[in-house]
Amino acid sequence: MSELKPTRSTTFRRDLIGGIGLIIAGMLFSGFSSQNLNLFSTLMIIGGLWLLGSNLYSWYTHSRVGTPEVTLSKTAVSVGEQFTFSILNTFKQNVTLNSFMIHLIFKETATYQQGTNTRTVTHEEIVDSFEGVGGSFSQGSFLSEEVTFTIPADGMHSLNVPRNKLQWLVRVEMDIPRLKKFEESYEIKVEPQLAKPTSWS
Amino acid sequence: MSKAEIEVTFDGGNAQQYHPHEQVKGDVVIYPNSDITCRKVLVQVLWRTEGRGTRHQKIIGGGEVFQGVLKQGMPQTFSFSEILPDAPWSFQGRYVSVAWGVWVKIDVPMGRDVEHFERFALVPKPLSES
Repeated sequence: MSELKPTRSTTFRRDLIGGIGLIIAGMLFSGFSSQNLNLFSTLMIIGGLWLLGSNLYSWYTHSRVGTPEVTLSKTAVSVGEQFTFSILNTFKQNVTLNSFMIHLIFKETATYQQGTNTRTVTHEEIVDSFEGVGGSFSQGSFLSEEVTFTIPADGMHSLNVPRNKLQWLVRVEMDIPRLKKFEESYEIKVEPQLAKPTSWS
Repeated sequence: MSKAEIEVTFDGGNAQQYHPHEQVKGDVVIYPNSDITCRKVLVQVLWRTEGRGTRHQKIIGGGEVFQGVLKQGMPQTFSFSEILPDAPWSFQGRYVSVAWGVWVKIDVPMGRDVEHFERFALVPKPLSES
């Protein structure tokens, strides 16, 4: 069994810093005076507030749901191999789940230079999904689930080289009414070797 | 017309599919269309990423095989032989691909280099064969 930590999304930090930066820049352009606000500085401040608000909304969802404890049946998985993903979540507040999904995802990430800007594009393919049962959970109650997934035998192993990444992820999604969707992704390291079919063992 | 034609042939036929730890072996033949004074000729076995991301490549083996003048009408042959590693396997994705190949470069001073990349695939060995 190995414990998994969620992949640290740089998007959250980037949006937070970007939001604060836009608000400060907008205020600087207006000379910190509401009388000097022009369209440009107003748009910057609105954009900054939107980024900040969106992140705080996500943060609020996480503060209600809590931090799931996640374990994997193996430390490393081969191509074509089956593994079990276990999740145990203790809710910090009363929460109603419309839906609860666990996905196995293959993700490509490519980073490139366009002029002076660095751009990143991603493509995700949902390879398999598990749909859990939603419902109402009171503060302190548990959500526990074990899901078995298989890395396809014709799949690719993980690859992490500068500016190019191929990743296998397990993503937990909880759809909660009136809150931003709860999402956490966990990276599964897939080794470049083929697993024996289960029927052989 | 290009300054030279480059042809890469692989030993054991041109199936161009290899498994990890196998040897990729063959010949590079350069047919100069005119006399070419070259700084060097490189023959390398490598893999590289292709697609949207900035290219990353790793040279597995090979190097400089010639310096001097490639004479028109006098084909030159250079052999290559490398043992392939475990990974990465060849892969074609939407934004990221992994391509294996033999890279040939005629480095021409003060002129356009002649380059050629002959692909092959590195695929896992099916378990029934191992």
